[in-house]
Amino acid sequence: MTNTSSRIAAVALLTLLATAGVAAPRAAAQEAFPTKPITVWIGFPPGGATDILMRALAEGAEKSLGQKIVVINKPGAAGAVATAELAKAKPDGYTIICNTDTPVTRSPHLRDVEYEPFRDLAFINRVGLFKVVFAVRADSSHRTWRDVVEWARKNPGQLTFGHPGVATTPALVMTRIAAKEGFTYRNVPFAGDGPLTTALLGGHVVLGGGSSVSASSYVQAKRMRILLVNDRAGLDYAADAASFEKAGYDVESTTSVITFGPQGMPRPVVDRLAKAFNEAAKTETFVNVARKSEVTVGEPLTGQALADWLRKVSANYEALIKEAGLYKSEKK
Amino acid sequence: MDALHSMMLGLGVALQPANLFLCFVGVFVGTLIGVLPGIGPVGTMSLLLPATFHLSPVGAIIMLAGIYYGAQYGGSTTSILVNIPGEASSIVTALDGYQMARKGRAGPALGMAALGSFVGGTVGIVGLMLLASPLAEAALSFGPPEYFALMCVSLVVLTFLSQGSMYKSLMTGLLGLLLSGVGLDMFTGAPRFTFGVNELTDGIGLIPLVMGLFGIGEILGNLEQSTTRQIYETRLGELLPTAGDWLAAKWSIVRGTVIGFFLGILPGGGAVLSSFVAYAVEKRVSKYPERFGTGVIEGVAAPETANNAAAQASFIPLLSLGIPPNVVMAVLFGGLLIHGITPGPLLIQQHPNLFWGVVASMFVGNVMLLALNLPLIGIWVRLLRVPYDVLFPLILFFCVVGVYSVNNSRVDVYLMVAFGFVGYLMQKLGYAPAPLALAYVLGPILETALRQSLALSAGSFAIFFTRPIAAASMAVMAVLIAAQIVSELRRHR
Amino acid sequence: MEHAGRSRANDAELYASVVLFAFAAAAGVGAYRLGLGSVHNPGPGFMPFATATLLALMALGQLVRVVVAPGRGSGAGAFATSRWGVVAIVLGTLFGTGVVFERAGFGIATFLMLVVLFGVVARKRWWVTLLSAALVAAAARFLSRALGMPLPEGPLGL
Repeated sequence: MTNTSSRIAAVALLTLLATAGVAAPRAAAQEAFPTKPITVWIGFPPGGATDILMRALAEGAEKSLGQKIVVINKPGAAGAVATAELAKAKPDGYTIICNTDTPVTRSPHLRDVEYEPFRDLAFINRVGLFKVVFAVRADSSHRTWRDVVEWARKNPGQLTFGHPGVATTPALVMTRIAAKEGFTYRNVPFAGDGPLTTALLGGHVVLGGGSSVSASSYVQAKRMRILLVNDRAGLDYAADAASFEKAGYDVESTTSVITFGPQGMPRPVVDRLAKAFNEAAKTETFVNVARKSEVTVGEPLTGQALADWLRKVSANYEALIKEAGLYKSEKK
Repeated sequence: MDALHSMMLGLGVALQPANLFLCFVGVFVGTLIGVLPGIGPVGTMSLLLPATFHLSPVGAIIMLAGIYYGAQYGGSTTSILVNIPGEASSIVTALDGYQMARKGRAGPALGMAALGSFVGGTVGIVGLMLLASPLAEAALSFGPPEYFALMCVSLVVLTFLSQGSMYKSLMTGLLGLLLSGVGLDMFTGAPRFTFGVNELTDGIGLIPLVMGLFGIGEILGNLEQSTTRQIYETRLGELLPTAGDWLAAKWSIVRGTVIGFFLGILPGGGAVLSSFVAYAVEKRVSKYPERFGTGVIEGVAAPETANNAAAQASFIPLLSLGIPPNVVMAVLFGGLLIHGITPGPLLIQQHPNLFWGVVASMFVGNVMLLALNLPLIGIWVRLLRVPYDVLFPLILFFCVVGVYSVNNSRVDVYLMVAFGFVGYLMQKLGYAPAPLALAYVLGPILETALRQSLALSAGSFAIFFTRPIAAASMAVMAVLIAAQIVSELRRHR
Repeated sequence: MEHAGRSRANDAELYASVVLFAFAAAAGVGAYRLGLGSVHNPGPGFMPFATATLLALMALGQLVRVVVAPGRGSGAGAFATSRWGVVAIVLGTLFGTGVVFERAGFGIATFLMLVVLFGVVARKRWWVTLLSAALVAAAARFLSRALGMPLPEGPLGL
């Protein structure tokens, strides 16, 4: 053999070995996934609704996967900080995140983020959907949603509306509703549902829009009256609350909890995780927690179907964010 | 008496062996966590949250609550021993506590902290029992304008705190305010001063700031003397506060309890506020204010009593109204939800066992904590006798691990290092770090309250003067400033 | 006692004032660019700008005072006793530990950190250094596993 051909042969052999070396462990990993504990990040501080949902889910999923699930909280910007970090993680399925869809469907429209949601992330499954409610204090003179709208029309710029943050569903949705109904209002952000509830109960804002997590307890205690809810099924503890549908509002109001990981996770791994989570959603622990947190589980949505759905949601939120004047290019 | 009856019910629940055990586990872990710098009750509670799935609701809450107020006891330990506040509410304890430790009086400082905490905690529980509902309602009347006014008063009070130049304290306070602006703007979602660093999106973080400024800065200062010099004087035989200490501190404890309890009810910043307001009040009413900051027992007793009273009071918004006033209570909120209990105004009515069981367990827990912490004083004091050149690497070790484990973030370590350097420089130049840290905590509340108030009033500043509580607070602030100016003028006469 | 001209204490004060002023000025500019809004409707830059301006003014005031009346400094030769080498090594080590923390694993990173601190700064004998560092790192590793704390494991699982 000549030097050149032996060199070529050597290179070919090495390349073959290298690819085999790379492919083999991956194949092996696919077969055996998971072989060690899985870490799930949560982009919120502990105790929050997303947090307890995932922990409840983890309990059931651990049985199905045969490995422990370690939950780590990485709070920051409703999960955007954690998502940016996750996008750089190894896509082997051992590091994933459970979060609301905010970092995927909203954060990128509000400011420049370090990741491209539909390029850098692989979506696993949708865990559930939150409800959004609009409420007034029980002693308010507004008895229905129409009362609020009428009053706001007659008193432009007087209605004080509190919400848990500028990028939250109630805040964004309200811009569209007000535009449609033709009234203006005073927009008052709060640092989450807790401070908002305090302000509403204390009479500092007239109308509050937030998640429905503990709304039922306030309705029961006759401290709050819920006027509007985004779920077409309404609320069983607030029968008079109008739904978006009935009020004629066709506006994106999705607040979902999803699991996702970095792009590049092998298909079988994603499917395995999705299957485990979907099964875990049927366990009693999870069902109870979901019920208590007023989370609707809905149809299982995984992988590509989930990605497509999220794309739609994201486009809708982009429009809403632009309407609210919060789109990133409009800010200095 | 109805409350007495309920207490009996509660004790019946709390003294069940399972719950007693969980209470002990909670306070023990809490103390440990409080002592270790960086890792706080929130992290630990979240670690243990899954474990509580299979406990009874009462048991779970008893344990989680124990971690929280147990950490308040432990947090003061590091403040006193190594000048590293374990919690924001222990920052002020470090001012005099650490100086006492330097002078060989670590034992009395720790003892007073434990005992003051016990008194504050116990009275706080009684307050919680008797006054939960009315106080919760009163706290509701604090809206954005009231908070803004309160923060204004607080910032003025802040400048009274430190020894040395008030001018410099003001500057460090402003620096703290400035640093608190880093992060996402709540009102527009725009990033401020994040320089594209992902980890800064939520701000700098109190833990890296405090650990760097206080802990690392102090160590760097100490390393100036050759490492074999003793940093701490040691005086064996004085492990507990003396009779003289008690005489001096008894009114501090009373004042601290009252201030701590009432300020602690306010959601957001209650515990921090109570600790330094209590300290400032002590300094004001003392016959020797210039000694504050050199190691006076009142300077330890007041804030420690206050922050434990406040910790107990912070359960009120959660248990009476279902509103978690801080991050820790939010975890408890989640814990309740997991166990099928929706926190809300009807909690006490619908789950009296839970409420009274938890309240009773707090009494038990505080007693356990006293029994745990007092004997530990001997160990801590002995630890201080370890040569500094062995001690400081260990302290730094705990700092690094502690700060990393808060967010599992390397950036936090870098921030701590940066603030360590700043803290060292500040120390050398005579700038007190406490106003910086405290302003950092209060700054966001101030700004948020201002902008919310203006959003409510559509831009009118009258809102601060037409609402009774807000107007009263503004008046108090004016009086305080005037009084300070008068006394400054008198001093230069 | 009168000081004629600038003493080292005042040098330190002077530099501090300059640095503070520069920092505040930079922050002020940054805040301005964020958008001030109006007094009735403050924008994201409003508070930082107000704070930075106040701080800058105060720093300027201090600067002026040090230059005009150099007699009153804050302690004699503030940095005279500084051991900058030690400061640099300690801070550098901590920084380095942060850098390798995740890649090398928490055990190894802290081991190395302790080796430097014990050996270089505290100048212990080499075997004392290595032994103590290993002991502490191992104990911490063990404890953190026992408590279930999620600290990064490096390539060696440490």
